Amino acid sequence: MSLSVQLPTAKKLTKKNDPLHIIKTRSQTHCRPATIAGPMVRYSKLAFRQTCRQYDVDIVYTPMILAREFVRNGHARMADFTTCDEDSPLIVQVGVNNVPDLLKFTEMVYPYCDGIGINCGCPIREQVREGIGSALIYNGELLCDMVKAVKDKYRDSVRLETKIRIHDDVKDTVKLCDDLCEAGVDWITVHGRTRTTRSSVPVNLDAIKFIRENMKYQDVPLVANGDCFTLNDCYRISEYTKVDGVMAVRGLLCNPALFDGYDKCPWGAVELFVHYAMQFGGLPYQLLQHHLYTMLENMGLDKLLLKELMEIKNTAHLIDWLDEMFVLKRKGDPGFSKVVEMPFRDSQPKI
Amino acid sequence: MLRRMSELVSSFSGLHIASAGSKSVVTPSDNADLTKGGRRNQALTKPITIDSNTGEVLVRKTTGKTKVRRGQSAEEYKEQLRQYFLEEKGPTRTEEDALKMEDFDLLIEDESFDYALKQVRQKMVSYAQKYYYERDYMKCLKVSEPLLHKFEPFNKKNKIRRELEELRYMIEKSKARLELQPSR
Repeated sequence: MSLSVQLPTAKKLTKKNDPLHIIKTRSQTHCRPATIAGPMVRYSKLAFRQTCRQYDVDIVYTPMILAREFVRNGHARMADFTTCDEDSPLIVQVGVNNVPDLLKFTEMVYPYCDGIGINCGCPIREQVREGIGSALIYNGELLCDMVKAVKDKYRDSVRLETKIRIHDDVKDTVKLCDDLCEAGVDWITVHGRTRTTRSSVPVNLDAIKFIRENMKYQDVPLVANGDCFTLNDCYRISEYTKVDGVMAVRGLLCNPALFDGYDKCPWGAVELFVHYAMQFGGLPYQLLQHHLYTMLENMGLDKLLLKELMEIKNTAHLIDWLDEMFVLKRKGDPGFSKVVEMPFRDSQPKI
Repeated sequence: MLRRMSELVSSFSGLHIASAGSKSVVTPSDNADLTKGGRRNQALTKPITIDSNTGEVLVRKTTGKTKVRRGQSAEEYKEQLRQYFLEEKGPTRTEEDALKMEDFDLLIEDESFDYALKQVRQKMVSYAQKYYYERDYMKCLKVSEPLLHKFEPFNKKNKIRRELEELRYMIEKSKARLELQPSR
């Protein structure tokens, strides 16, 4: 497609930011699987991504961005994708149901990220009805066409991942993985639940293991997703399934430091998250509040105080509440982001 | 490949929809919101490509009705590329320490800003929130007061009441703290 403006050049993929290289080599270089912060609808915004990066996370995803909206609407772009120099390695996850939209989306996004991931796991009914998310695992032909179109055009200058769920018959998933590999996908993330399995049902690690063992293309890395809430879970999942990387999603939401060996969210993560949220700006209040709720709940904060937190109506009031209840350090304060336990204040401030 | 609309609608209306993980099908006449055994209908649909050049597809909405998702012509896309790469300069980049007073001073004077847009208001309020968080109450006040003035005309049907309340809260608290500690 001809254009009168100069398109930016692709971001150079090096050993430091190439997600494929990282996933393939972490077991040799770090004696552990690659650690990945997965995409969360609404929640994987820049401030949270940067917080996760402080705690041994190798690769971070954006929330799913709908290609159709992104390529047609400037307001959607402003709301959906914000980044910064330190936001790398970054995978931008896309919700898409046709080849042209994916090609356009890729053209617009790839200079600003390190890879693109197609969401083939979202179970939300509204998206599935549009043929997006987990609907794609039942539409392998379209999914493979999309992967092939991007890889044929961009080759190794764009890393492309697909995040899938398992089928009721896991052999169907193996077949889909083989087809995706033939289409040129760089790696595959498998969420060990079917489209209709509830998150309260344990992840099916046997299915992931079966896929790993039976995929024709053993050189294509596999990442396991589901029920990773601690670093021990991460090791257990990778050892059992023999995958190259482990993705945590819900676990990181309440404890962004889980890959760094913290079984409970350290207070420093709260300080970092608030710092980034204030530095970057633009985070809707409800998201800020929900992030803090999940982290503080994970730390064992009293239910009455959690309720109090949820009754606060704006950011400024929330900052005051945090300052009244805890010692919330700012960047530059000695010990900023290093405290582990909740630092309750002994006395209440005057204002 | 461009197909005739009537042709497509008729083919879609006769489409069999495969349910997840089984070979059984449900007919399109099934209402999408019907529940079976207390569980919502989990039927799957596949979008039908109408125009493979523009990305126009026919999908089934949650209500069960079909809907055409309009394609995007090459011209429309070219205009989006121009806007994105030339005007917007790619995605919004917010580095640490990027919210600076001198930028705010320029932005608040920008008459092209549409404060009816939530994202615009959110961006501007971020300056006030950042200074409030940093306990720089002088700057917080300097930012919050003009913003309150800018926001108030857009409070139609009390829709941005909470945003105004936050600005008033920051103004009130900043003033009180400055009275106690004028150096801040």
